Amino acid sequence: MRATYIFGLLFLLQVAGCTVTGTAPATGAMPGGSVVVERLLPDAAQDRTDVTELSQSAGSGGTVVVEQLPPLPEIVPEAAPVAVAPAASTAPISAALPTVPEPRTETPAAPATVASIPPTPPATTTPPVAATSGAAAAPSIGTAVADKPAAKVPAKVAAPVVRATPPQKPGAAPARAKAPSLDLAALEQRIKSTDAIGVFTKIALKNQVDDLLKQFKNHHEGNGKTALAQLRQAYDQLLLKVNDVLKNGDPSLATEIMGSREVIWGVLTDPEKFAKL
Amino acid sequence: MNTRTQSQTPGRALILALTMLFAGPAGAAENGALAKDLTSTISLLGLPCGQVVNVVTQGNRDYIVTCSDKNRYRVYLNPQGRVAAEKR
Repeated sequence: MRATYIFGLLFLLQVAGCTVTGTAPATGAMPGGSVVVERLLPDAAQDRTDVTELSQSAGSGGTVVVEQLPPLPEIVPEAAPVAVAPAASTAPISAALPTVPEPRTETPAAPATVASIPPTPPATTTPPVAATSGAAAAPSIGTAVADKPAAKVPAKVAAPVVRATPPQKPGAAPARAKAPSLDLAALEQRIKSTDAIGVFTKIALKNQVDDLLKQFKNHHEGNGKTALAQLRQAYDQLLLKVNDVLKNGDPSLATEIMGSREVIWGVLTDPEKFAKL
Repeated sequence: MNTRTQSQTPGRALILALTMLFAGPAGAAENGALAKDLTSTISLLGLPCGQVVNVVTQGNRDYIVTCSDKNRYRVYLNPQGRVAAEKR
Protein backbone atom coordinates (compact mmCIF):
# COMPACT_ATOMS: atom_id res chain seq x y z
CA MET A 1 0.00 0.00 0.00
CA ARG A 2 2.78 2.25 0.93
CA ALA A 3 4.80 1.25 -2.14
CA THR A 4 1.89 2.00 -4.36
CA TYR A 5 1.65 5.41 -2.82
CA ILE A 6 5.28 6.19 -3.41
CA PHE A 7 5.15 4.93 -7.00
CA GLY A 8 2.11 7.04 -7.70
CA LEU A 9 3.80 10.09 -6.24
CA LEU A 10 6.85 9.59 -8.44
CA PHE A 11 4.69 9.16 -11.52
CA LEU A 12 2.91 12.37 -10.75
CA LEU A 13 6.21 14.21 -10.34
CA GLN A 14 7.48 12.89 -13.64
CA VAL A 15 4.36 13.88 -15.51
CA ALA A 16 4.45 17.29 -13.90
CA GLY A 17 8.08 17.83 -14.96
CA CYS A 18 7.31 16.91 -18.57
CA THR A 19 4.50 19.31 -18.79
CA VAL A 20 6.62 22.17 -17.49
CA THR A 21 9.66 21.65 -19.79
CA GLY A 22 7.77 20.29 -22.77
CA THR A 23 10.33 17.58 -23.43
CA ALA A 24 10.31 13.88 -23.11
CA PRO A 25 12.08 12.46 -20.11
CA ALA A 26 15.67 11.39 -20.64
CA THR A 27 15.91 7.69 -20.68
CA GLY A 28 19.48 6.51 -21.24
CA ALA A 29 21.88 9.42 -21.38
CA MET A 30 22.77 11.42 -18.37
CA PRO A 31 22.79 15.18 -18.51
CA GLY A 32 26.05 17.11 -18.33
CA GLY A 33 27.96 16.32 -21.61
CA SER A 34 30.81 18.22 -23.17
CA VAL A 35 30.60 21.86 -24.00
CA VAL A 36 31.97 22.89 -27.36
CA VAL A 37 32.85 26.47 -28.10
CA GLU A 38 33.72 27.26 -31.67
CA ARG A 39 34.44 30.34 -33.63
CA LEU A 40 32.32 30.82 -36.64
CA LEU A 41 33.36 32.70 -39.71
CA PRO A 42 30.61 34.99 -40.84
CA ASP A 43 31.12 33.99 -44.49
CA ALA A 44 31.67 30.32 -44.08
CA ALA A 45 28.36 28.64 -44.37
CA GLN A 46 29.89 25.20 -44.22
CA ASP A 47 31.21 25.71 -40.73
CA ARG A 48 27.79 26.67 -39.59
CA THR A 49 26.30 23.55 -41.01
CA ASP A 50 28.97 21.51 -39.31
CA VAL A 51 28.23 23.12 -36.02
CA THR A 52 24.56 22.58 -36.35
CA GLU A 53 25.17 18.95 -37.16
CA LEU A 54 27.37 18.71 -34.14
CA SER A 55 24.73 20.24 -31.93
CA GLN A 56 22.21 17.83 -33.28
CA SER A 57 24.38 14.84 -32.65
CA ALA A 58 25.26 16.01 -29.21
CA GLY A 59 21.69 16.79 -28.41
CA SER A 60 21.10 13.48 -26.74
CA GLY A 61 24.12 13.81 -24.41
CA GLY A 62 24.46 17.37 -23.22
CA THR A 63 24.42 20.97 -24.20
CA VAL A 64 26.34 22.52 -27.07
CA VAL A 65 27.20 26.17 -26.87
CA VAL A 66 28.00 27.86 -30.13
CA GLU A 67 29.43 31.34 -29.96
CA GLN A 68 30.13 33.58 -32.86
CA LEU A 69 33.21 35.74 -32.46
CA PRO A 70 33.43 38.82 -34.65
CA PRO A 71 37.20 39.62 -34.70
CA LEU A 72 38.20 36.61 -36.84
CA PRO A 73 38.22 38.36 -40.20
CA GLU A 74 40.70 40.84 -38.74
CA ILE A 75 42.99 38.11 -37.46
CA VAL A 76 43.25 36.28 -40.77
CA PRO A 77 44.72 39.23 -42.70
CA GLU A 78 47.27 39.73 -39.93
CA ALA A 79 48.49 36.15 -40.17
CA ALA A 80 49.12 36.36 -43.90
CA PRO A 81 51.56 39.32 -43.75
CA VAL A 82 53.52 37.59 -41.01
CA ALA A 83 54.24 34.71 -43.38
CA VAL A 84 55.14 37.08 -46.15
CA ALA A 85 57.26 39.35 -43.99
CA PRO A 86 60.49 37.30 -44.06
CA ALA A 87 60.33 36.99 -47.81
CA ALA A 88 59.79 40.68 -48.10
CA SER A 89 62.69 41.39 -45.76
CA THR A 90 65.11 39.07 -47.60
CA ALA A 91 64.18 40.41 -50.98
CA PRO A 92 65.29 43.94 -50.25
CA ILE A 93 68.64 42.69 -48.91
CA SER A 94 69.52 40.81 -52.04
CA ALA A 95 67.99 43.21 -54.49
CA ALA A 96 68.87 46.51 -52.90
CA LEU A 97 72.23 45.70 -51.37
CA PRO A 98 73.72 49.11 -51.86
CA THR A 99 70.91 50.74 -49.88
CA VAL A 100 72.35 52.62 -47.00
CA PRO A 101 70.49 51.76 -43.78
CA GLU A 102 70.41 47.97 -43.75
CA PRO A 103 73.91 47.13 -45.08
CA ARG A 104 75.50 49.60 -42.71
CA THR A 105 74.32 47.56 -39.80
CA GLU A 106 75.91 44.51 -41.41
CA THR A 107 79.17 46.07 -42.58
CA PRO A 108 80.87 46.03 -39.18
CA ALA A 109 80.43 42.28 -39.01
CA ALA A 110 81.29 41.59 -42.62
CA PRO A 111 84.75 43.15 -42.74
CA ALA A 112 85.67 41.26 -39.61
CA THR A 113 85.00 37.97 -41.31
CA VAL A 114 86.61 39.02 -44.53
CA ALA A 115 89.67 40.29 -42.74
CA SER A 116 90.04 37.07 -40.83
CA ILE A 117 89.82 34.84 -43.90
CA PRO A 118 92.48 36.21 -46.23
CA PRO A 119 95.55 36.19 -44.00
CA THR A 120 95.71 32.41 -43.88
CA PRO A 121 95.70 31.35 -47.55
CA PRO A 122 96.92 34.37 -49.49
CA ALA A 123 99.21 35.68 -46.82
CA THR A 124 102.14 33.97 -48.39
CA THR A 125 101.22 34.78 -51.95
CA THR A 126 101.73 38.28 -53.05
CA PRO A 127 105.05 39.62 -51.81
CA PRO A 128 107.34 37.15 -53.46
CA VAL A 129 105.19 36.88 -56.53
CA ALA A 130 104.89 40.57 -57.08
CA ALA A 131 108.60 40.83 -57.48
CA THR A 132 108.89 38.41 -60.33
CA SER A 133 106.95 36.92 -63.14
CA GLY A 134 104.90 34.65 -60.89
CA ALA A 135 102.37 37.43 -60.62
CA ALA A 136 99.87 35.39 -62.57
CA ALA A 137 99.39 33.00 -59.71
CA ALA A 138 98.84 35.60 -57.04
CA PRO A 139 95.91 37.38 -58.62
CA SER A 140 94.15 34.11 -59.25
CA ILE A 141 94.46 33.14 -55.62
CA GLY A 142 93.39 36.56 -54.56
CA THR A 143 90.28 36.38 -56.64
CA ALA A 144 89.52 32.91 -55.38
CA VAL A 145 89.69 34.15 -51.84
CA ALA A 146 87.54 37.07 -52.74
CA ASP A 147 84.99 34.75 -54.26
CA LYS A 148 84.86 32.46 -51.28
CA PRO A 149 83.02 34.79 -48.90
CA ALA A 150 80.64 35.80 -51.65
CA ALA A 151 79.77 32.18 -52.26
CA LYS A 152 79.41 31.28 -48.62
CA VAL A 153 77.27 34.22 -47.57
CA PRO A 154 75.34 35.05 -50.68
CA ALA A 155 73.44 38.20 -49.92
CA LYS A 156 74.97 39.80 -46.90
CA VAL A 157 78.68 39.73 -47.64
CA ALA A 158 78.56 40.20 -51.38
CA ALA A 159 78.39 43.95 -51.29
CA PRO A 160 80.66 44.55 -48.29
CA VAL A 161 83.42 42.47 -49.90
CA VAL A 162 83.60 44.93 -52.74
CA ARG A 163 83.85 47.78 -50.27
CA ALA A 164 86.25 45.99 -48.00
CA THR A 165 88.81 44.88 -50.57
CA PRO A 166 90.44 48.27 -51.17
CA PRO A 167 91.29 48.81 -47.48
CA GLN A 168 92.34 45.19 -47.17
CA LYS A 169 95.26 45.39 -49.57
CA PRO A 170 97.31 47.81 -47.52
CA GLY A 171 96.29 46.05 -44.32
CA ALA A 172 97.23 42.64 -45.59
CA ALA A 173 100.68 43.64 -46.76
CA PRO A 174 102.28 43.60 -43.32
CA ALA A 175 100.64 40.26 -42.57
CA ARG A 176 102.13 38.86 -45.73
CA ALA A 177 105.52 40.19 -44.88
CA LYS A 178 105.64 37.77 -41.97
CA ALA A 179 105.23 34.71 -44.17
CA PRO A 180 108.57 34.92 -46.04
CA SER A 181 110.34 34.36 -42.76
CA LEU A 182 110.06 30.66 -43.51
CA ASP A 183 113.27 28.84 -42.86
CA LEU A 184 113.87 26.57 -45.80
CA ALA A 185 116.84 24.91 -44.15
CA ALA A 186 114.76 24.02 -41.11
CA LEU A 187 112.02 22.68 -43.33
CA GLU A 188 114.53 20.55 -45.21
CA GLN A 189 115.91 19.28 -41.93
CA ARG A 190 112.44 18.35 -40.73
CA ILE A 191 111.81 16.36 -43.89
CA LYS A 192 115.12 14.59 -43.44
CA SER A 193 114.48 13.74 -39.82
CA THR A 194 110.83 12.79 -39.97
CA ASP A 195 109.91 9.17 -39.34
CA ALA A 196 106.79 9.45 -41.46
CA ILE A 197 108.66 8.42 -44.59
CA GLY A 198 111.35 5.84 -45.10
CA VAL A 199 114.82 6.06 -46.58
CA PHE A 200 113.77 5.06 -50.07
CA THR A 201 111.05 7.70 -50.13
CA LYS A 202 113.44 10.35 -48.91
CA ILE A 203 116.00 9.48 -51.58
CA ALA A 204 113.32 9.48 -54.27
CA LEU A 205 112.05 12.81 -52.99
CA LYS A 206 115.52 14.28 -53.05
CA ASN A 207 115.99 13.06 -56.61
CA GLN A 208 112.84 14.79 -57.73
CA VAL A 209 113.64 18.01 -55.88
CA ASP A 210 117.09 18.04 -57.46
CA ASP A 211 115.55 17.54 -60.90
CA LEU A 212 113.19 20.44 -60.36
CA LEU A 213 115.97 22.66 -59.07
CA LYS A 214 117.99 21.80 -62.16
CA GLN A 215 115.08 22.88 -64.33
CA PHE A 216 114.83 26.17 -62.46
CA LYS A 217 118.54 26.70 -62.79
CA ASN A 218 118.33 26.19 -66.52
CA HIS A 219 115.38 28.53 -66.65
CA HIS A 220 117.23 31.30 -64.85
CA GLU A 221 120.34 30.82 -66.93
CA GLY A 222 118.26 30.99 -70.07
CA ASN A 223 119.43 27.59 -71.25
CA GLY A 224 116.24 25.69 -70.63
CA LYS A 225 113.22 25.96 -72.81
CA THR A 226 110.82 25.18 -70.02
CA ALA A 227 108.33 27.94 -69.47
CA LEU A 228 107.44 29.18 -66.07
CA ALA A 229 103.95 27.71 -66.38
CA GLN A 230 105.46 24.28 -66.94
CA LEU A 231 107.74 24.73 -63.97
CA ARG A 232 104.77 25.74 -61.89
CA GLN A 233 102.93 22.63 -62.95
CA ALA A 234 105.87 20.41 -62.08
CA TYR A 235 106.30 22.22 -58.78
CA ASP A 236 102.63 21.80 -57.87
CA GLN A 237 102.72 18.12 -58.76
CA LEU A 238 105.78 17.55 -56.61
CA LEU A 239 104.24 19.35 -53.66
CA LEU A 240 101.07 17.34 -54.02
CA LYS A 241 103.11 14.15 -53.98
CA VAL A 242 104.97 15.30 -50.89
CA ASN A 243 101.70 16.17 -49.22
CA ASP A 244 100.27 12.82 -50.17
CA VAL A 245 103.23 10.98 -48.71
CA LEU A 246 103.42 13.02 -45.50
CA LYS A 247 99.81 13.71 -44.66
CA ASN A 248 99.27 10.45 -42.79
CA GLY A 249 102.57 10.13 -40.97
CA ASP A 250 103.39 13.77 -40.25
CA PRO A 251 100.35 15.93 -40.96
CA SER A 252 101.82 19.04 -39.33
CA LEU A 253 104.85 18.94 -41.61
CA ALA A 254 102.60 18.36 -44.62
CA THR A 255 100.46 21.33 -43.64
CA GLU A 256 103.52 23.49 -43.11
CA ILE A 257 104.92 22.61 -46.50
CA MET A 258 101.63 23.24 -48.24
CA GLY A 259 101.25 26.48 -46.31
CA SER A 260 104.61 27.76 -47.48
CA ARG A 261 103.91 26.74 -51.03
CA GLU A 262 103.82 30.25 -52.44
CA VAL A 263 106.81 31.42 -50.45
CA ILE A 264 108.93 28.60 -51.82
CA TRP A 265 107.64 29.37 -55.29
CA GLY A 266 108.63 32.97 -54.80
CA VAL A 267 112.15 31.91 -53.84
CA LEU A 268 112.41 29.58 -56.81
CA THR A 269 111.24 32.13 -59.33
CA ASP A 270 113.37 34.96 -58.02
CA PRO A 271 116.83 34.63 -59.61
CA GLU A 272 118.57 36.40 -56.74
CA LYS A 273 116.93 34.31 -54.04
CA PHE A 274 117.41 31.18 -56.08
CA ALA A 275 121.11 31.87 -56.43
CA LYS A 276 121.42 31.93 -52.66
CA LEU A 277 119.96 28.46 -52.28
CA MET B 1 130.16 -29.78 -13.90
CA ASN B 2 127.10 -31.74 -14.68
CA THR B 3 124.98 -29.64 -12.39
CA ARG B 4 126.21 -26.43 -14.07
CA THR B 5 125.17 -27.61 -17.54
CA GLN B 6 121.82 -28.73 -16.22
CA SER B 7 121.18 -25.32 -14.70
CA GLN B 8 122.28 -23.51 -17.87
CA THR B 9 120.00 -25.51 -20.13
CA PRO B 10 116.68 -24.07 -18.91
CA GLY B 11 118.14 -20.55 -19.08
CA ARG B 12 119.21 -21.00 -22.68
CA ALA B 13 115.85 -22.44 -23.54
CA LEU B 14 114.16 -19.45 -21.99
CA ILE B 15 116.36 -17.02 -23.91
CA LEU B 16 115.71 -18.90 -27.13
CA ALA B 17 111.99 -18.90 -26.50
CA LEU B 18 111.96 -15.17 -25.75
CA THR B 19 114.05 -14.46 -28.83
CA MET B 20 111.66 -16.39 -31.00
CA LEU B 21 108.72 -14.68 -29.32
CA PHE B 22 109.93 -11.14 -29.96
CA ALA B 23 111.86 -11.65 -33.16
CA GLY B 24 108.75 -12.48 -35.15
CA PRO B 25 106.79 -9.29 -34.43
CA ALA B 26 109.88 -7.13 -34.77
CA GLY B 27 110.59 -8.60 -38.17
CA ALA B 28 106.97 -8.16 -39.19
CA ALA B 29 107.06 -4.52 -38.14
CA GLU B 30 110.26 -4.02 -40.08
CA ASN B 31 108.68 -5.57 -43.14
CA GLY B 32 105.62 -3.41 -42.64
CA ALA B 33 107.74 -0.27 -42.49
CA LEU B 34 109.67 -1.34 -45.58
CA ALA B 35 106.44 -2.07 -47.43
CA LYS B 36 105.11 1.33 -46.48
CA ASP B 37 108.34 2.98 -47.56
CA LEU B 38 108.26 1.21 -50.89
CA THR B 39 104.60 2.08 -51.34
CA SER B 40 105.41 5.76 -50.85
CA THR B 41 108.38 5.49 -53.17
CA ILE B 42 106.37 3.94 -55.98
CA SER B 43 103.65 6.52 -55.47
CA LEU B 44 106.24 9.30 -55.59
CA LEU B 45 107.57 7.90 -58.84
CA GLY B 46 104.08 8.09 -60.26
CA LEU B 47 103.59 4.40 -60.83
CA PRO B 48 100.33 2.55 -60.18
CA CYS B 49 100.49 0.23 -57.22
CA GLY B 50 98.00 0.77 -54.44
CA GLN B 51 99.67 -0.88 -51.46
CA VAL B 52 102.77 -3.05 -51.42
CA VAL B 53 101.66 -6.43 -50.16
CA ASN B 54 104.85 -8.45 -50.57
CA VAL B 55 108.55 -7.61 -50.55
CA VAL B 56 111.38 -9.90 -51.62
CA THR B 57 114.88 -8.66 -50.89
CA GLN B 58 117.30 -9.22 -53.74
CA GLY B 59 120.28 -7.34 -52.39
CA ASN B 60 121.28 -4.19 -50.60
CA ARG B 61 118.50 -1.70 -51.35
CA ASP B 62 117.16 -3.87 -54.11
CA TYR B 63 113.66 -5.28 -53.77
CA ILE B 64 111.01 -7.01 -55.79
CA VAL B 65 107.63 -5.81 -54.63
CA THR B 66 104.14 -7.01 -55.36
CA CYS B 67 101.37 -4.46 -55.20
CA SER B 68 97.75 -4.87 -54.21
CA ASP B 69 96.73 -4.20 -57.81
CA LYS B 70 98.92 -7.17 -58.92
CA ASN B 71 101.64 -4.95 -60.37
CA ARG B 72 105.19 -6.10 -59.65
CA TYR B 73 108.21 -3.82 -59.59
CA ARG B 74 111.89 -4.00 -58.95
CA VAL B 75 112.71 -1.03 -56.74
CA TYR B 76 116.37 -0.33 -56.25
CA LEU B 77 119.00 2.31 -55.74
CA ASN B 78 121.03 2.63 -58.91
CA PRO B 79 124.76 3.46 -58.97
CA GLN B 80 123.98 7.12 -59.66
CA GLY B 81 122.21 7.32 -56.33
CA ARG B 82 118.74 7.49 -57.79
CA VAL B 83 115.79 5.39 -56.76
CA ALA B 84 114.49 3.47 -59.74
CA ALA B 85 111.46 1.26 -60.22
CA GLU B 86 111.19 -1.20 -63.09
CA LYS B 87 107.98 -2.92 -63.93
CA ARG B 88 108.22 -6.71 -63.90
